[in-house]
Amino acid sequence: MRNYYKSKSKSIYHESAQSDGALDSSTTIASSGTRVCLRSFDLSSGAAQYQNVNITQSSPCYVYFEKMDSSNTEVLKMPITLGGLGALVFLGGGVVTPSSFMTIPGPGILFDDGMRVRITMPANPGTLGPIFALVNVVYSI
Amino acid sequence: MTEDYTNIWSSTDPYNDGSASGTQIISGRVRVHAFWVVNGGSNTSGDNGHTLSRPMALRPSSGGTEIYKVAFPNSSRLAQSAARSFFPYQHRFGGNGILFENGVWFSVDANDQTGSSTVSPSSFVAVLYTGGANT
Repeated sequence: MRNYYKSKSKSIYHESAQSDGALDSSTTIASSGTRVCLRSFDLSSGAAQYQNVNITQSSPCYVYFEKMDSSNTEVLKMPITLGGLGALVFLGGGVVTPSSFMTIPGPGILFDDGMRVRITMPANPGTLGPIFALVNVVYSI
Repeated sequence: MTEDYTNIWSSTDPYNDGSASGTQIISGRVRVHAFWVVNGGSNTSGDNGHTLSRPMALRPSSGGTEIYKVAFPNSSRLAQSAARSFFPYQHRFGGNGILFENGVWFSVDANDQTGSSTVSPSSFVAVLYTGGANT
């Protein structure tokens, strides 16, 4: 668990086709009663069409890191990164998806009662193509 | 570099969770190791480019000296219907972190440099620390 424990990694990817409803999906990293150390994670999301307006500041894709206790205590909730309309506008392509590899100082954040990763995506109505959210989780047990 | 597990305070509503003089977010003797911000574009009508965000800072007390401050432009020009942006910024302090001897306060300037209080493009902040506890 401390500095010298080996890390594991899990990749969680969700894609939402146009006209799909909102997504709310949880992936268990470690069951209740297990101590887990979150060491780092990577976030990205994207849209196939630059005019896809479904991901907004008030309704981004979110990642939640939660315990596996009875109330799924939230330790961290963070918007998943997304590129916007760039300087070279109106080219009609997809939205840039900056990768954000977030490294946690020291050994990491301790989850003393299991951990799950929950991802939410807004509904994707209309005719503007798919959107996706990707989270890579690096942790130790 | 700390060998302690890291604590975290975070907000997805930083402009309401902070205040001009600072709102206490962490108590105790604290070493702050990182300050994360996700900045984007506000897409608010009238924010159509040429605007700045309200700077945010960490302070050692209410109204105390700003120890660490961040400021961003409103990165989107979004009168057009375009996807909003969320760009992460990691401020990693290295060593044993920045010492706050008696708690941490989170402040948000009342206005940006143009005098506007409406532009709020940052959608997330987090303070990663050891010692102390979230208030």
